[in-house]
Amino acid sequence: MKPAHPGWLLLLGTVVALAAPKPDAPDAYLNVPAAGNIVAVPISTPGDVFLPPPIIDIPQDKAGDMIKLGRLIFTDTPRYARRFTGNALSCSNCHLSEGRKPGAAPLWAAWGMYPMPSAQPGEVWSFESRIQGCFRYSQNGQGPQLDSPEMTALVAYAQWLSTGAPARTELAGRGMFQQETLAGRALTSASKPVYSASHGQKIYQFQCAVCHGADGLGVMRKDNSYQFPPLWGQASYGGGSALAQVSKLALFVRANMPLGRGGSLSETEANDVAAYILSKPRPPDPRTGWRQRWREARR
Amino acid sequence: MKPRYFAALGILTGVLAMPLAQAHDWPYAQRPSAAMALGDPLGKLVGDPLRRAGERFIPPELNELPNNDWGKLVRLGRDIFIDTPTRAPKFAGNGLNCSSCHLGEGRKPDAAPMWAAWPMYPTYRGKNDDVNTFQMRIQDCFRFSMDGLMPPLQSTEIRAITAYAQWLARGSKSGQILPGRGFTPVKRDIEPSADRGRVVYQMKCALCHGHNGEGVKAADGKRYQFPPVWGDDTFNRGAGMYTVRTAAAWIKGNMPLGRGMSLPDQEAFDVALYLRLNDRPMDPRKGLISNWSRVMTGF
Repeated sequence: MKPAHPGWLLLLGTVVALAAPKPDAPDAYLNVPAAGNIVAVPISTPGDVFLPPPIIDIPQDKAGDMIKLGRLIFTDTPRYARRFTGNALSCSNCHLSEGRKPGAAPLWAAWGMYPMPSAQPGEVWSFESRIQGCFRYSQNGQGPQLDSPEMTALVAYAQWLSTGAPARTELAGRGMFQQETLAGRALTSASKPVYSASHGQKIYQFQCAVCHGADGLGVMRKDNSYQFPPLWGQASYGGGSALAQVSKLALFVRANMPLGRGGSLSETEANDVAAYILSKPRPPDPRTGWRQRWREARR
Repeated sequence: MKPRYFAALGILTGVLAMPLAQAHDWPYAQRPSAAMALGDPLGKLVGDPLRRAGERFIPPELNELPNNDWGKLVRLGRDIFIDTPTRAPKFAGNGLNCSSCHLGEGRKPDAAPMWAAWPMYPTYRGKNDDVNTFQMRIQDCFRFSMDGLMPPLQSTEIRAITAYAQWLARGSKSGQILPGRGFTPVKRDIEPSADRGRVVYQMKCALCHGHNGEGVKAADGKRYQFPPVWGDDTFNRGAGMYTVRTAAAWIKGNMPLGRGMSLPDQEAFDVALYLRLNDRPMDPRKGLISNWSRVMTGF
């Protein structure tokens, strides 16, 4: 049989597109464009994700300068917050798309939720102490002082990104660990997962190694900054960060990786890849002493 | 009356209020009391003046707080806010509370309410020519308006007040300029007269604040029922209230208590200048000489 003429396919596509019902989005919560955009993730209802302001909306004054500095620190931390950084990672290596991407702990969803009760009883996290924790564990460095320009700039950037986001309101796309649905499917099953690092190694070589390198050490630009971040080794995040836990790393991988194809790995694959990544050496948790580190190294 | 009569009365009231709730949008549907703010003399303290009833942002109520660590921190912040010399004795230097200026526990529109301030920070302030976070702004209040010491940014006092302000701003949108923010605008082309101001003060202010501006002590002899407006126990020469136009804007919107917007701009300016010319603590940023020159010249 003769294959269909392309024109017929085009006509069919047009008819389908016109017949599809259009979701009406409220104005503050704009629809995320679907194609050609790494910001877009599958969302259950179109139009239910908050859209932060574009960077051309940063005001041209001293407050705007601080916001711009915060953005530079966020996207190139080893360069612009050098005195507090201990490895090669930037904030935006986990908080993807400059802290905008839903499902990758976007800043606009986090800002309004702090101060919040922490896991330890008697302790309340402020946004600033949370940033300090990021620097200490994920950047393997030191927390910036509360009155340092780095801290003010990061807070200003987060507050500006959440322009129009309501305070103390759970926004869709918040965090990366939520047990909710992604594209209508449950992110985690109820049963306790079994991790297979050897299976994870195969998945890693097939899905991740093209960017992060077969050795997991990332891809470096000519100016020694990283194009793709290292996943283990001394230049990567420390053992005290949240993504050093298999379950949380699996959720991050599931929601965001491979870059631009979040949600494509199955739960088992994400778990196995996470187990493989975390079986590799990385900087130790700064809260632990040498004895515990020695025990972990021997294990 | 028996409980069921109360229930019947409540249902009847609800039925009668239903057209009210349907005629307008959310403030009435959620809080019918918002519709009564104009007619209710007690509500004038908090809801004054409304161009259209229900137009103001309505902060949450205290009994909505959960009883977890965060809720306790917010409650502590409120306690500090309304009883600063007792609850923050390390840092308060005079007899004023935060709520002496931020009336109604920081809720009253046109008295620099916390719910309208929180979404605007971090922001640039000309006072110190820098971008300040909310915490730094609180430090300035302690230093100038409280005539005390700046609490460290990681201190419990700062964290509690920040948590309280952020909770009051629940649901307000980040970066949103809410009606009622700051003080009421005043005319800029007014020539104030301290002589007229003295007359206005003795007629309209001295009843509560005392003929010598010394305020009125509460029954325990320590706290103030009505705050002093000059003398040793009030804000110093570095506070925003020391600026005539700022003080006039605050006075116009809020004084005499419960009858805000009753003074004409001219009289508000006169009283503000009269307050400025009286004795009060020195500006901590300045040395003896420049402070004395301010005392001698008045400016």
